[in-house]
Amino acid sequence: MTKAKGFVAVFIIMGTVIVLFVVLPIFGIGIATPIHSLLETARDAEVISSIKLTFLSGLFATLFAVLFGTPLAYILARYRFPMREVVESIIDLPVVIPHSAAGIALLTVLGRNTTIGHAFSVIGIHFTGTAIGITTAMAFVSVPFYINAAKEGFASVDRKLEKTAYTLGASGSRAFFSITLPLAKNHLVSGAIMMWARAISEFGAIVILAYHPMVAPVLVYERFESYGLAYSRPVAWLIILISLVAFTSLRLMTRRRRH
Amino acid sequence: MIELKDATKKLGNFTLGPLNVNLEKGSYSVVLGPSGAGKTLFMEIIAGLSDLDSGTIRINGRDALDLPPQRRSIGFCYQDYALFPNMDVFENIAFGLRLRKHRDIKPKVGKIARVMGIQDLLKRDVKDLSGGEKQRVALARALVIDPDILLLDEPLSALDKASALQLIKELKRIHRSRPKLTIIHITHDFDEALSLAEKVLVMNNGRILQSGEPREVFNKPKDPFVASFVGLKNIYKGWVGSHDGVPVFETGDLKFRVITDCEGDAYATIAAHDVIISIEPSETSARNHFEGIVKDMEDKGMLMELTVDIGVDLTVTITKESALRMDLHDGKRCHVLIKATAIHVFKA
Repeated sequence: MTKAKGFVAVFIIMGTVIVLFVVLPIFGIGIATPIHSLLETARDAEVISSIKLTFLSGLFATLFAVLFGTPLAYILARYRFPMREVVESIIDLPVVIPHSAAGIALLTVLGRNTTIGHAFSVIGIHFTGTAIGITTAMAFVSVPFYINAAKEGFASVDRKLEKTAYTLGASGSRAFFSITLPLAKNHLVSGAIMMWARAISEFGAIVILAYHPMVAPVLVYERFESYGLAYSRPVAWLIILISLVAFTSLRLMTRRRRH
Repeated sequence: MIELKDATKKLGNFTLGPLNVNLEKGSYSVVLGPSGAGKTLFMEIIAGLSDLDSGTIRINGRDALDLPPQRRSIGFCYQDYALFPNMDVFENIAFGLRLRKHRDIKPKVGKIARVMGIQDLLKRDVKDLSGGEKQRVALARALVIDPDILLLDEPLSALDKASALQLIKELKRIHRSRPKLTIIHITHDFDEALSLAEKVLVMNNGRILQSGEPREVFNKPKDPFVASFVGLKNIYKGWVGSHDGVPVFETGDLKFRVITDCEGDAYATIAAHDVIISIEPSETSARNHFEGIVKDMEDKGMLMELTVDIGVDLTVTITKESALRMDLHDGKRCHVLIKATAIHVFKA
């Protein structure tokens, strides 16, 4: 037993290092930011509009993924087909490529002078320097978070439940909406939250596709570049706080629903 | 009636069939086989949950090859019940009725719940039910839509003995009260098959090795696998020859007088309860008479299972009372008598 105790103690110490590693910078920025400058920043129109833009763009990116990604996640979870693993790897790509490179790639196919970019501009949709561009960049880099969670959710629903529903007379869509979807719901919601969180923290891809209008991460960077650390700190702290509050409350909401 | 002709289905390395099956409308059939035999796949094919690669399937005279499960009038109960965990007991049972836009859902659910003895559970969450209760809910859910066919996948395997016995009674009652309902029941337990089946289909490696009345399958297996699976202990490989014009089964140095049309390589089975033991040699009508030594005795409650060495090991069951009266013990010499008609011979 003594041996096991020592072993656990070492693990606890190592674990503490990781926790401090994450907590310290966040704690530090909070201490370093005077409360009056935080309040001042919270009244800054540019800051408010950029936070609004960030959160809404993230929301739309997530809604887009939920709408189009849910069917894909279901198919990936349920069916074995040739190239399935290829499709899965494609979906994971945005996680492994540098996000600035992702931004360049997006700009290359969606820029003003590209075929796709031009085709969309005919119907009034522009990707560069617009909220739509921001949403697109966010969706690109964060969609794996939703798809993978949704896929796991669908895989966790026993196939036999759907089969039983069929024998009882349910159509494919009826079985999906009354059995599979409700049972996978928690995974889907938590995947959507993760995706949304990832979307609002995106910087690299957005800064290339749409520097303006400025989302919060770009605003922090811009203030740091133009005015220095002290001036960018309150904005950074405010965004961290809002993100923490939003993320924690969403988590709590879904957890309560689960019980 | 359910009719399969040359039905096959490949699933990875496993091949089901070719199956040729005929199940009468209103009959109770038990599909018996070890796990991995293809029993569940067989059921899913009847239910339309799995398509055939070749062959035909007809249900109640209709070609069912392209008939989706929704239109086959089938109740399917999976081994783990497959109750919908996002619904309470009432909603589980009402599911099929709601899809049929039934009026009177409440009285219908109430009625089947009373029949199955679960009327007090209707508002309960399915996660909180015992295995036996879940099984009843699954049965109620399948039966409430009044199907033509009821498919039961290992319905007793997850239940304790008391619940299983209770459910056997229940299944018998369902079978009696619904003369048009064709029931197919999967199990790996031969006793379960004996107590319920009108017809047994023994399955292994994707094929049906033998089908027929349970007693007949037990007494006259056509295959060594079937013989051992139905619990026969005495299975011997040998060959059938003729001795003074009467058929004789030979295995090792032993010769058994048998009644058979077989010739050449064959198997013989002897039911353990068909063997007579005596201490003194005695003249009886039994044509086979051996001397043996008791090698092992196992207490089976009311019965005693002996292993007697007569040149080969022979398992014999006798009552405990007889064993005591004859003072049988390990190493005791005895006489073994087997009627020629008690030996079942089939071709190897």
